Amino acid sequence: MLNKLTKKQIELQSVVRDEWINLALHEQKFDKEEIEAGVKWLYYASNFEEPKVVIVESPKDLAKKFSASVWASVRDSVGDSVGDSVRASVGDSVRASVWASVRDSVRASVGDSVRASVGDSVRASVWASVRDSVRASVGDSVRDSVRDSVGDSVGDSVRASVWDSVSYACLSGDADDASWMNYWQRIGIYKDKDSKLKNYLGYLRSGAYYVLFFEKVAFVMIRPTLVKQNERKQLHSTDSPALAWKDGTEEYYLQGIKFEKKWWDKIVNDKMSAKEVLAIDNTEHRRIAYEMMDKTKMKKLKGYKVLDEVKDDGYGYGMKIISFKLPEIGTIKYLNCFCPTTGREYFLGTDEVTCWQAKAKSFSFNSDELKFINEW
Amino acid sequence: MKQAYRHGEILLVKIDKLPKGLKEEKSNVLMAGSHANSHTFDKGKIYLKTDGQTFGYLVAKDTKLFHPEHSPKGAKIKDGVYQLIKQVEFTPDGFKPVVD
Repeated sequence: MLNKLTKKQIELQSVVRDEWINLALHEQKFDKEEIEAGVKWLYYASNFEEPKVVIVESPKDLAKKFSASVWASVRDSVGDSVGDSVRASVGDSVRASVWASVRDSVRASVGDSVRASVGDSVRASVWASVRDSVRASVGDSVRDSVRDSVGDSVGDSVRASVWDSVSYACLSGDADDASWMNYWQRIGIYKDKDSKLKNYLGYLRSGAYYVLFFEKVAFVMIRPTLVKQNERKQLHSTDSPALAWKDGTEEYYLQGIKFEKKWWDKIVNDKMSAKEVLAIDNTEHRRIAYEMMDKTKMKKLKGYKVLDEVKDDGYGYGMKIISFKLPEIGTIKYLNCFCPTTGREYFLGTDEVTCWQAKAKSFSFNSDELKFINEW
Repeated sequence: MKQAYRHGEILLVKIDKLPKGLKEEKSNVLMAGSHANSHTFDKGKIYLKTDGQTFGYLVAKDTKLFHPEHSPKGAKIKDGVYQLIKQVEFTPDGFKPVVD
């Protein structure tokens, strides 16, 4: 039992952490043969038959090949059975068979505290922004692709099935645990007698970025060619796509929120008027566009007025009702408020003239009917 | 006055009891968000039923609410039954659900 780490062992934590963050976000290496061999080994180690390995280059490419392969085989059984047919995923079993023995061997050593220094940092860099965004992008691409041939409800069903079938046994899903286990291996705590960890880490290093494992076919998306993040590890770039893929697909993000290129271009170059920014229908897009807008534009709105102002909303932030006139519509009013957790500033359309009433009314109550216990 | 929690664009209003005829959903998702950010919970039961701004009910017992931005580590709410209400905003075309 190891009770204390040496200075050298502690220093190695940040080395291993940075190696895996680099592997997951910035390394360009991709070896098709290594990936195929790695996937086949994973299936073999999990007592599954060798699958057909389909390498894809982007979420769109995955949607295309998924539709042509798995979906083609189940599209006749639309309805409830779609989910069951597509969901015959083996991803969780595959991952469990690898990790179970490794994890059990090392977890009792120094304790979970070391994990926070290595695995959690990798997780924060890779998971919350990149992996979840890729997952959403994959789901949407697959749904849109399938929707061309069937109805919306089936499209949504297949999207949900694909969403559920994503395996963590890939670089975007397992870089955190891999870094942690790799650390134990490198300081000699885990001996890896059956070479399972070595094989698994080798598979991850080959560039299998995002995977869907089914009984007979494994879809493996290779790593992106570009990942850009802000200091909060959100996908973010004001001068290029934040995510780009080998097939030329580019995705634009600001503060972790995805935008179409034309909107991204207008926002980062401050080409929108305050009126256009406030008219954006998605509140997160509106918030970011407002944050990046030159605020002096607000004063240029015709008839701009502050109708009501609250100094403290209970969480240290102010609230305002602002109004201005649009020739074709008349007076427009917004509740200007802040998220108590993130401090982000929002504008919500309202027909009220006081802040508290506007807030309550947005949930179909009057201000004297609601008592907020807590807000996040 | 009704007691309420706000979790982003969701209001949880404490009510006395669960309406009749609801079916529990096998899900931990309060509301799926765009941009890969969903409102989820642990240790509770959810019953989905859309009626105006109401989209369901949550029976909370040692329940925490999660959202990557609003409460990544979990936000504890009191045990009880809650009506789930989605926020709307006023537009020149009338009230519309807040889209994020």
